[in-house]
Amino acid sequence: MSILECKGLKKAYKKGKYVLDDFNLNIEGGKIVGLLGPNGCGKSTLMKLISGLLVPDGGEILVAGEPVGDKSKALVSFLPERTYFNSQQKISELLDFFADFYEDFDLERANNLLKILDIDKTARLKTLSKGTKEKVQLILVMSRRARLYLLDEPIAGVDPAAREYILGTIVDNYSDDSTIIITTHLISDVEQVLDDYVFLSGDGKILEEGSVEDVRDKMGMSLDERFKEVFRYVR
Amino acid sequence: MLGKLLKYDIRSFYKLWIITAITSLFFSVVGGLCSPYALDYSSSVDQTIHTVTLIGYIISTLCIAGFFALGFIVPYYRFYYNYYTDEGYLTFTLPATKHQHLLSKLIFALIFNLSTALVLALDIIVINLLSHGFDGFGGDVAEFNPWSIVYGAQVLIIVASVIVSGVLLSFFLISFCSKFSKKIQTLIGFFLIYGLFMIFIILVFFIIGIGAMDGISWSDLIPDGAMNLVTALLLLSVDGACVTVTALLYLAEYRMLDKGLNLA
Repeated sequence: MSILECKGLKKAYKKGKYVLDDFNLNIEGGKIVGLLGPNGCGKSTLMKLISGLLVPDGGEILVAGEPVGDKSKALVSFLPERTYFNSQQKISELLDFFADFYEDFDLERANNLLKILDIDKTARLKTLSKGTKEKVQLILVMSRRARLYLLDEPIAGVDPAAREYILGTIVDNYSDDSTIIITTHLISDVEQVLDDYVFLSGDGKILEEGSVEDVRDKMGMSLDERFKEVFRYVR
Repeated sequence: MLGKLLKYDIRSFYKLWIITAITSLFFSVVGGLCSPYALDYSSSVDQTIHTVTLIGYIISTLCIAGFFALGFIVPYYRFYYNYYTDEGYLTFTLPATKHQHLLSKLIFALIFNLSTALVLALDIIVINLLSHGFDGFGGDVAEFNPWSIVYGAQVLIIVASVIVSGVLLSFFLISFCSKFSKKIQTLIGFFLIYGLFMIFIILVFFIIGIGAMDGISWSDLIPDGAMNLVTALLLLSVDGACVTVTALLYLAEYRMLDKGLNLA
């Protein structure tokens, strides 16, 4: 069953300039999918549309058969590229908040992940470093047993050791009936965990999509190399 | 979900509100005790006492004004912060409908705005009690008229509609300005427009307070025989207009929120 269906999706930030134009995408459940493309091609916009942060100018989005709304938001766990919590809050307050609003939030898992990272639950967010805040945010997102995880640039701006930790957290806490969609520019770091990929062009459409394994076996190259080959001539 | 949203909204502010409300009541006592000497410019009051009590009175007034500003402004600041800053990423992805979000913020603003107005009225009463005693209060009790109940209910609807409309208008202005201005411009614009509305509310409470203290009977303001069916019908049409405006403002703000996150 499809976890995500986008039909004829349109989104423009300026009149006449569509970031996504008649965009169609179908993602099956139980996969880790890389949403890849150059800057400004609509990756983050697509994630924001799916999570309900933005409203499309046309078309339809269905998450596990539900149109975007309060019911689909209960199925989707979104990690944006920026930290969005009130810095005055304590981590324990955030845990209570998530547990209160999301029925699928696994408090025990969140506490274990915080313990592994030696993060004090009583600490206020403003006392944490940028990297630690991002890890807290990732823990909160991945501690939900969501049907669809949307991770927008989860490893951007972090050191290589932290990248490895984040990818490990993603894979370890992902269940077979969930789907993860990751956007990133660091393809060589992420491709090891990806099942499928989608290349977005700069004009709001899908340029190429398929299995990462096929790229390696049939094309004889890594996904990173394939990306460079495809986008060498695309602007 | 509405209950949960409201719970966290109230939890974010109630402790600070209670502390500032108690502080303002304390300063209303200070202001009331100081005012007979502070506001007496005759030579009968010792100059030192006059100066000290004047400073005390000014500080009390500023503290009460500060509490008033906090109690009215924080709910709108929180509305802006939850929807039109990075915290919007969390707010808009919660599994709640836009109606639940809007109602939560509306109820939160009403609770704290009305509570703040009540505490402010209490502050004014305390100051006047301590400076004038019970002599300042009084007035004739209006003769009971069966239409008074109808009249009262209709006036209540008008007042409630105006208050709710004020809150919704503030939300709408915040939403509207955020689409075209930067953060600080939005806040400045909001405070300027909202300030006008607040001046009106203060004047209303002040007039009520003055009216009660100077012994004005509100029944004197209504012509004989006017409390009748005609007045009731006229007020009913005003009720209808006020409620319609309130509903339109609600819908307008709902449409604004329905457009989703608005961040650079």
